[in-house]
Amino acid sequence: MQDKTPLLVVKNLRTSFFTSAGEVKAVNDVSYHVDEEEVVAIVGESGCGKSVTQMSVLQLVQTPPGKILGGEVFYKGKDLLKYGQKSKEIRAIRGAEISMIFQEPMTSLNPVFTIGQQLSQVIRVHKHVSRKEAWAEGVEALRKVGIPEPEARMKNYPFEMSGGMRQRVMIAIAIACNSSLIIADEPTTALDVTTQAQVMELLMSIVKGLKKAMIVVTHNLGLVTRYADRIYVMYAGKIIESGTTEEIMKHPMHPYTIGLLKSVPNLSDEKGKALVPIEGAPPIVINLPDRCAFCPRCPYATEDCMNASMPGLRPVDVGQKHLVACHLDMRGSR
Amino acid sequence: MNLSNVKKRFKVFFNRGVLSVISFVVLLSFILIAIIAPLITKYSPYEQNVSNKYAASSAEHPFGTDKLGRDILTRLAYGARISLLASLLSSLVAAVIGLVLGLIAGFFKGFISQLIMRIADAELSIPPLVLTLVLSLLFGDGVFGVVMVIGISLVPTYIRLVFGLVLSQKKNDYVLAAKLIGQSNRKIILKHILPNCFPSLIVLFTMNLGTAMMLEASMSYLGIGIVPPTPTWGGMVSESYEVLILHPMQAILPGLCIMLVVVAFNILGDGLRDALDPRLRGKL
Amino acid sequence: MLGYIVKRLGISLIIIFIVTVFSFSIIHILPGDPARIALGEEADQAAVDALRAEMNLDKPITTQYVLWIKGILHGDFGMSIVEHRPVSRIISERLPKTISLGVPALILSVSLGLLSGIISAIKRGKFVDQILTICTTLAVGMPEFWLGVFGIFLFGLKLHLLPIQGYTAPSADFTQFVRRAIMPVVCLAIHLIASINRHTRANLLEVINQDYVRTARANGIPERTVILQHSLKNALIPVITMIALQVRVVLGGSVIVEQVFNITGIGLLLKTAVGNRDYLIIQGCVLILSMITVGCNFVVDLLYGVVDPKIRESWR
Repeated sequence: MQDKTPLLVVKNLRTSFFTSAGEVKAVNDVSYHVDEEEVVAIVGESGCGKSVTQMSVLQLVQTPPGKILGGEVFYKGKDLLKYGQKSKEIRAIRGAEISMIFQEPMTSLNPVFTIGQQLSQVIRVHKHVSRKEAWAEGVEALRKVGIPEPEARMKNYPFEMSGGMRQRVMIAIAIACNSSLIIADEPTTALDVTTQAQVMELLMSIVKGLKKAMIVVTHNLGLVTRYADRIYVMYAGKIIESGTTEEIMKHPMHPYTIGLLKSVPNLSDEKGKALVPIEGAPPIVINLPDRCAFCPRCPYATEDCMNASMPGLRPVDVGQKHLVACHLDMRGSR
Repeated sequence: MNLSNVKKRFKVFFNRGVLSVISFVVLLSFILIAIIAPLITKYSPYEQNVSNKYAASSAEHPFGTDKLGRDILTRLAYGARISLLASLLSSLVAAVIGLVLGLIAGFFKGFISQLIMRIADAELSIPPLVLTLVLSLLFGDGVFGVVMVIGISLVPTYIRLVFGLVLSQKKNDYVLAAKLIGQSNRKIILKHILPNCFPSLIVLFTMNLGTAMMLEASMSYLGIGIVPPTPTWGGMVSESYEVLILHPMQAILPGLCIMLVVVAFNILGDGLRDALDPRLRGKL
Repeated sequence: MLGYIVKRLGISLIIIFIVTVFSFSIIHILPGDPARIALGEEADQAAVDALRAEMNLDKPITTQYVLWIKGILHGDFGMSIVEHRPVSRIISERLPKTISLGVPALILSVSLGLLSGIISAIKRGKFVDQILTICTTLAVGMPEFWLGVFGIFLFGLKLHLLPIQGYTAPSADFTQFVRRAIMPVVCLAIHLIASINRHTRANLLEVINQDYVRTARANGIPERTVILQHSLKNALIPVITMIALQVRVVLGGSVIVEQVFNITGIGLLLKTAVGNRDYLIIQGCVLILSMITVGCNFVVDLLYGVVDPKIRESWR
């Protein structure tokens, strides 16, 4: 943390959804940070709260039923949660300082406006340029994300484009206003496999080329290992392990992370090694008891785990950069 | 559908709050009044007593009497019979005809389907009251006539709904699978398509009860279909028009009854829609 | 684009054809001999036969249909058997009154319905929304004739604010037209206002939860633009369908409203004609009113293309 200044610092963020079945603690006391020009991955199964965390940063959670209950989100030193949900200040951040790319390229673009209309509208909102200039900048952004014939594509409607193309458009919108931080929420999940790699490579080359920071939210550990500098692993609304990619890949300390790694195919593995799935399903985060939420699925869980309260994050290495929330010492168990 | 599922749907149904419960109670009381009308009052709705016309509210006549000295409460209660019966039966007629035609149009492509859908379109292009006026010439006066007239004019919405449902059903894999293993069309329609139409049908049916009642009231107001002296709420408003300034309650009461029942039907329909088929929200 | 228009036009023509068959059948399906009804029970058979010949009733049914359509294409809807005047003349006298009330009613419903629907959706669950919900729920269940009678009682008889009956052409005396038209127009519009409000609210709320609205917000688009541009344009598509379907309801409502306020428009004409078994008038009214509906639907189909680019795509 000494060598780089943190761009985004999230402290003790808590977001809940209030449903008829009870309070869903989707984000439960989550803290993390992103440095300048750093690529950070947030990994977890669907429903673990990783997307809601990112939505909370920009206050995009639907209220009601969702509500940000507490915490702080410092972006370049300013606490974003101090601004109102519809305030001018937060709007100036959205799309201009922090841009989001969403999972569903098929539904994330407005079906009744052309790509050009949507792209240049964002540019005009943040840059106060003329229509013509905004259009030209839009064309330029499309060119940067490798869309052929950008001038013609500007006049297309989303339904006239493939999923990969639309995701490129989303990336173009994200970089059009020169954001310092891009939050990519499962950017490739909805795409087919060949397109996934293309879009991810494109995203990385843009982030590296333009010296931006990025948060990649994903359930795909395999994707992360190649691109991310650091990893946060989330489970049931909490971060349960964090550290550099290398450290986590080599010495995963949480049984859940170990399970995740075992369930991902790896080319370097010896032939015939079976993939091991994690048994059970992620918990529904309503009225969870105060204990390690992974306990019921954990192959290493002891009697003590069942009785002890929720473990906090503790450092497990010398540099204190590798943190884990587990009662057990899993050193060397992979 | 297991019990917990039923319970859940029921919960959604009543979660809309007190409003649904109130409408349910309102409807039940009107149905009850309609059934036990002869027990509520000692008068006949036709019994005239010209010497006691326009009587004020009293213990004998809680809502007073009309221009022929007939007890207004009695006529309201018997009016409930006619209105509820007409709207229920006409909606049934519409649902049955619409279901059959919709299934045919949806399942069999080609000329028949086109013909049915275009006739439905044509019917929908004739203003509802205009259609009922013309059809009433054909079916004549009386409850049967009104039921047929309103029933037929409500058919197109059912045809369209069922047609759309069948088309989307046909795309499902289980219908394709049934075809592949050589099940007959009749069996596919009855076993696979029909059951999946019912939730939406029930919703439309409930919502149409209000529409049917409104049409019946409007026809009766115009003096077409069910004609005096048979007591109808619409007819009562019409009859009291000439004495509006002196006895406004005679016009207001039957209108209030119509409104209560129609609103109750609508709220119930909304509730049913949210419980059974939320996709229809904003469409019906 | 031309292909799309031609296709919609074709469908409209088919619908009108079916309506002509329906209106034509009226005269034949309905009990009673039109000529006999025209001349009365006592008229001698020779006179009736003569009239039958004049009305082409003695010819084969297909010939009659062709002759009837030919006449209509030349603006000849036949003669009213009660008024002994051309049906086309009677209708053209009556229709402007109905239209001059129907159009303001439509404009009122669409503007008020959309506006209140948007407000309801934005203020969902708040006090304004609850009040609007109660009002619209009651309005849907309110019979037009009852609202009219109530209005006459309150604003006419009690408060003496508005005239209770009749019609003045806007060209003759505009102020008087407005004063006389207020109550009928409100009665005609009341159901439509309520249903447009409900539909707009429901659709807008659905659209607001869509991913692309989240995208717009995530990109810092002002909330006003998010609602009025990104959401509304999508939400309007189903609402337009609904409004198109409701044009007929307004026209149907004119039968009631004209009866309540004693306005000699086409609705009252039809009602009287049904009472008199004046078949040619009935035929003419049904045909004209349906054609208006079909025409409006056709225009709406074209409007669709403006709002929904997917449909515009199929125009190319």
